[in-house]
Amino acid sequence: MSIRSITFSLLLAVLTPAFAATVSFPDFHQAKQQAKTDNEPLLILWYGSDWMQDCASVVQAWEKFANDGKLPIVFGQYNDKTGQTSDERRKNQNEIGIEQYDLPAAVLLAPDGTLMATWNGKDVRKPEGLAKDVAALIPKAEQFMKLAATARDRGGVEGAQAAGAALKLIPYADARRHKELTGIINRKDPDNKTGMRALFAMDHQAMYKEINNILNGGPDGKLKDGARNFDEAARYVQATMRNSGIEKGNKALTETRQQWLAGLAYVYREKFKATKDEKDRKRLLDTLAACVKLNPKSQYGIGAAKYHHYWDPKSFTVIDNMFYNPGDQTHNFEKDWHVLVSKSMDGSGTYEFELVPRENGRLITRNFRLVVNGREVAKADAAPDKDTKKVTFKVPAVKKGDKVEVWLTAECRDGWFGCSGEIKMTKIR
Amino acid sequence: MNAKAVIAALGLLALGTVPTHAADNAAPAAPAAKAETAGLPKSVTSALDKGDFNAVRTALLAELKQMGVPESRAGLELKDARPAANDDAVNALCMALEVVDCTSPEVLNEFAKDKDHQKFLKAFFADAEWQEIYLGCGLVPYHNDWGVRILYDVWKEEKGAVKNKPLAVALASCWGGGETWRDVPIQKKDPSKYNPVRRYKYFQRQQAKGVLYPGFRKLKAWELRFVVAIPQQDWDDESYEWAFKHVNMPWDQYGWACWHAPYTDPSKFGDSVQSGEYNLPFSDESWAEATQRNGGVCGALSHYGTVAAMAHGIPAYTVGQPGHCAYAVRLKRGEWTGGFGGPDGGMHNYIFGNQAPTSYNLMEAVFKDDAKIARAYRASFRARALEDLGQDQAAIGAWREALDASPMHPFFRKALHSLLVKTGMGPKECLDYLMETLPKYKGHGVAACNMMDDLNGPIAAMDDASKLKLFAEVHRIVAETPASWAVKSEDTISRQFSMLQSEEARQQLLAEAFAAYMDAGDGTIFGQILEWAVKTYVQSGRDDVFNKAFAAATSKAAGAATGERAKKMSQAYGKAIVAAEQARSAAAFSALSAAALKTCPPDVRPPKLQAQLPPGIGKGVLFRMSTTSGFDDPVAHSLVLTPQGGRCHTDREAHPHMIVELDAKATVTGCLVHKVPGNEGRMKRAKISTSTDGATWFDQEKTDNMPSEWVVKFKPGTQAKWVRIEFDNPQPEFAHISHFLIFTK
Repeated sequence: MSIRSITFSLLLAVLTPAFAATVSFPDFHQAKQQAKTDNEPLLILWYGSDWMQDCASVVQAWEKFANDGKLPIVFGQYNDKTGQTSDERRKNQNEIGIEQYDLPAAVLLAPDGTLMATWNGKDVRKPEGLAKDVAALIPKAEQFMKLAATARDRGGVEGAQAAGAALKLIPYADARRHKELTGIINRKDPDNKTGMRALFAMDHQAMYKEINNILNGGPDGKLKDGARNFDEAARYVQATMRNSGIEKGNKALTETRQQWLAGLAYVYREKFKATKDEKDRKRLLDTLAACVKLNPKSQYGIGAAKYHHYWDPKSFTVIDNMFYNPGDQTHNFEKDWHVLVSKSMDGSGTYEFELVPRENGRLITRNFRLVVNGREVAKADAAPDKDTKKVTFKVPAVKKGDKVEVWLTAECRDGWFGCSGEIKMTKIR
Repeated sequence: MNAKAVIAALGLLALGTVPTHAADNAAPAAPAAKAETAGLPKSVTSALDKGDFNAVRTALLAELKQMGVPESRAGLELKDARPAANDDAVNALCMALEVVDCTSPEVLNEFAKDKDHQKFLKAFFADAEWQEIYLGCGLVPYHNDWGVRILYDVWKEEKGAVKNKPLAVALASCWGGGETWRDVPIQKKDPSKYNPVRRYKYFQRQQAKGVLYPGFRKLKAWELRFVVAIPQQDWDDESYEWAFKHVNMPWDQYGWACWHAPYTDPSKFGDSVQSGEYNLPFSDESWAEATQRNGGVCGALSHYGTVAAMAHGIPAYTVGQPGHCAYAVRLKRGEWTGGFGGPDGGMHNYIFGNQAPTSYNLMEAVFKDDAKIARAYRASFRARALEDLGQDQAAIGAWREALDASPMHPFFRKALHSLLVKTGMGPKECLDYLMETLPKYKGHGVAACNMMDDLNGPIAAMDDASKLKLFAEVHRIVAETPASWAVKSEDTISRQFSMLQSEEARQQLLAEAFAAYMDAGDGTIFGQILEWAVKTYVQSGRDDVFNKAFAAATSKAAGAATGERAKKMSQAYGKAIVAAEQARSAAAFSALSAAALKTCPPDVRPPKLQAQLPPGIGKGVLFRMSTTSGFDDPVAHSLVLTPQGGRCHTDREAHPHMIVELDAKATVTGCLVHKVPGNEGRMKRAKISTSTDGATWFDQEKTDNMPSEWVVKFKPGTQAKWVRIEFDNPQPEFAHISHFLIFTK
């Protein structure tokens, strides 16, 4: 890029409203052509000049990045402005190879236009941070491109193998959402002979489809009288993890490992539901715990922890805002709730504790106890085995700072699992 | 009137050299005068101080009685063009009365028991501008404290100086609902996660940063309702924050923001979306975050797109459709565009009913002009005050003024109708009134039908001639209304029929209705009326009535339809033709087919026949098939019975069949059946049979390998009125033919 064009674009950035700045890179169609001619990878800034509030600073940062970077790449831009029809936008997105809903974004394409990597958010606003990632990918571009071409050209597992090899060269997250190459793997190796399908191209939907096929004795569900192939399904998940290199391997595979562990937990959960055997429950809980351990903060980690709590007979639900929500409940089996009522207390006396349903109503609640600092001090006046919504307690004097709770046993029997409501603790005498 | 108000009024008199109507034209959208100028009389403020809203109400009525509420400013201006000296003072009193009546004195008394609440109420009642925004937001919380409680919460948060009153009002309206929507589901949500004050702060913060859609700051309270919440099925506050951070697209692309979340069933943990456990593993996250990461089906994705738009200050709503959930977004006033198959269906946020598009079209029309709707609301406040004062005729005048400014406001229209009925509206007066009013509903036929419901009494008392005149006008209005699959018209015509005394009048109405829809509209309602008429008359054996009405209408109908309308008309006729076939009504089949061929000729390219046709071709008057399918074109069925050829297409079946009915029993010598070109491999094993009674069949010919063109010679002397071809497929398969000709002697 010439000094003149940089100056001009900086001048534009100063003179026009903050969001109207445009970057001086060529349009991505032109840039794509240029990248092909120069045989260099293409880095596209995907942004919106007429609606992005911080457009000027993004543009400025990218101009500087392009100028300072010295990377052997072609810079291009896709100015995603308002006024394009959905069809136009879709066409452009298809050409780039990925959909984007959180702009600005950066997209790296191989010299032949094959998608290699994408970035969003902070990384794009401070593009100098991308330099290392991009620099690491540039030397792989040639090989990536060749393997992608082989994947397109060769039939059967050979094509799938090449697509997998290409995907191994790029960041794993980008590889998993690479529509073209994962599509090739799915088409050319539907039975996962190469292991590439499980590694890159089987999202959780595809995984559960396979698992359910085995559980039910084939796509048509040939097993009769509720029989299901639990053990065969578990063996399938374990073998797939082992044979596709998911079980062990680099850290990038963690979420895929978690996905397959969630799949295994699903098999054990279904089995436990059918057998009610505590050994099966233990398998379920152990599998969920293993899933959490891999990465507690990932979506699978968060979900597995929640499910572990849900199925663990020793766990209880803490309610500290005097409102119960669907996520607090167990469906068709009981769990204890610990409701923190300290804030509603005003000295000793007789208190009324009430659950006031707001949505749906098939919540069974019983066995109300008053607990101070973890020690049961009083029982409610209602029979412990009777479904009750309002009970009274005689509350003794408690010290300031004491943790006062009402413990109860609850079970939601709504089909859609959606009871919610207020909790009231009112002094009546 | 207290001294302050009198002085204010005199001051306005002295300055008021411009007649009010001229002033209205010049600056119609000016907000109501501030409390300092309009003021509230001492009798009212002292009752307010006590927190006694029964006393407030009594004092307001006494003051208004003393001041005199003009029935119609417009009327007075025309008469003497005098300036409306005490308009602001009267308006302020009327609005305060309206707030008390909407909320109810009992609710306010209870609310005012808290000292802070009382302080807020005094501030609110002293602020005419805020009250006007509140009362003009479309749905005003009715007989509950949601509205004042939310306004109070915002007022408290802003330490008594609310910076964005329309935003606060929109929140109050979403949570509080209104007289026509009392139990709003959002009221039942966990207040720690669905919190109006947090929403208020969120939008204020984003607006201050300048990151919201530029049109946001221009939105009125009724429009902001579609930004701040989804009253029917909202998502938590955190979702708005999350969606703002993670969905950033060009303003006009939020109609497909839903696809940011993966469409998936089952969930990451294998749960089906029907199971209830689908969202359980992620119930600690915001709905938006959980949906983007875990995915969902149409409901979750449409909510995601909607909340993403709303989080950026763009009005949006989710909408229920049969077996589906979609959404809509709006960048410009009046222009809703669909996401995921929206915008039509049952809206989850609405002011005037929830059946989109009629509801949002009506809402946009009512609120289209800021100046006019402001005028209409002010007249409505007077009208209600006059009603409270027992001055019904004057109230009627004020309601008429409100409706002059905003003719289709359903709540105003209902209030006027209620008074008209109460004051003894007769059938003649009702007819005159409706014939004058209906043209104002041009383009809003459903609203026109709905508003007439209030006047069923006087309408029922009309004679058939008056009713016919009225109902025909209704159909003309409905016919000019933009249609949608979500609009249903059968109920209207069915009710009209039940109100008519004579069968002759019903026939005339049917003809009027056919005529109205034949040449106008996109064909959707025509289809509904046709279907209803076929069901009502043809299928119950009274096809002569149907045919007479239909013939009367077709004689006046224009020529061929074009474009999208031709497609819709073809669908409409198609359904009716199939219904006539099923009802075995040859007369209806012939009439409908003839009209359809004229209006929306099918695009059929039948093959050229190879056989030499004999001179006698039987006149087929009815053609019917075992089933129809999405590939069928019933408009072309009648052509199958002619040498020109047509097209028909059954569903996949083991034994599909087609039957030709001749106009009379005849000596039949043979037949010709030709397959539609393409897929000739289907329809191999076939059999032709004949019948004289339509029930007992005699085989004429069978084949295991039916050619494309199959000519069959019947047994000598065969008599028949019906001829049938049936196929025997090893696996269910389609059948489609272009010709079925019967040869006669």
